[in-house]
Amino acid sequence: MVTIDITMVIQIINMVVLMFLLNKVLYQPVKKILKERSEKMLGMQNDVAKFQQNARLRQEEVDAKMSKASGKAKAALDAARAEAQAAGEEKMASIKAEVDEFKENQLADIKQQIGEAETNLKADLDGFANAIASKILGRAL
Amino acid sequence: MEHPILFISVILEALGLPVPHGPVGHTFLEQLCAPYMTYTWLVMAFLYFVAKLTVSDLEMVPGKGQNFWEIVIGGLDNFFADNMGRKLTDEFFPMLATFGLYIAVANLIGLIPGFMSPTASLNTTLALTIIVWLSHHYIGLREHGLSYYKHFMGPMWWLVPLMLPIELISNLARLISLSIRLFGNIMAKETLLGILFMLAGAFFAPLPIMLLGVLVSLVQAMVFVLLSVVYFSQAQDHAH
Repeated sequence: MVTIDITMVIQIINMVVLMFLLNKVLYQPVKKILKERSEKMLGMQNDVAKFQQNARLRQEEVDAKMSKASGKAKAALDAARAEAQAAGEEKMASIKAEVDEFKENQLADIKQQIGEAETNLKADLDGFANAIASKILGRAL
Repeated sequence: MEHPILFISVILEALGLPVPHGPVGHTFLEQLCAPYMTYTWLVMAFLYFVAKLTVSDLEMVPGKGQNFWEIVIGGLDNFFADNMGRKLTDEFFPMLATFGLYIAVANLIGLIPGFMSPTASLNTTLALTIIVWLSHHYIGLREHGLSYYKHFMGPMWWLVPLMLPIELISNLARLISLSIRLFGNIMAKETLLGILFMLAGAFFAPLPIMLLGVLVSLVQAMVFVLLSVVYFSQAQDHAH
């Protein structure tokens, strides 16, 4: 067992043969599939990164559109509100003018009726005075 | 010391081939029929057919066999690349991975009664070591050209007379240390198991040593490959 002989040279040849055999049937195929998988994974990672980038761009686009639409909606709402306010104020002004005019007419009527009543009363003043005096004196004047 | 019954030797003897009964064969045919040779071929055939059967149909989503080999080969590849760089790993992966797998399987089959570890022979371990030793010098010469001699000269010129012999001896000692470490550990395991089988095999006396044997077998395979990686890496690096 401790003797060194020609079998050592044969063992060297055996090892070289085994290296070639295992390299052919084991190492090269397994390394090849490991490399292919690694490349595939790398490709998939690149795809994922690309999809993520696209998704981010889409999101930004959607956000920008949403922001624009929101601005438009706010402007439309403000405009509608202002229009309604203006229309309301105009309506109120017209109603107020109508009411004022009606009030003026009524006051004028009342003033006129008061004037007429005063005139009538003044016209009947002597008659009323005679009637009161006759009543007080108990005889005709 | 060998197991009392080695089934390949029994078969070869039944076929009329000259299996050596001592530690070494005398004729060339006897040497070829020595147990460590026949069990080396068994381990080679085992590794080849297991690899062939489990890796015959590779898929992007791996099955059990493919998954095992992917973990082993991927793990070894990363380990080698971390320690000696991608270029050397791509060049020397088949050698180092084959040594790792061969030594692990060769060490472990010795734990099964009727089998022996081919690594319990110095011829086997020295063969592996010589390949590693020559390879690391090849790497050094290829990387540094003739400047590779600086690896043996020490850090300062006036230390050369001291450092050159030390470096030369330590480099040559790698041949001895790498081969005898593996051989000694595995032969000790085989011998101990053989003795315990003979003394009290019926009472499961070898069982604790067999459990330790599993650990030793894997650790020795790892140590051999790790040291080979370190030698390759040092040969590639610049001298101090």
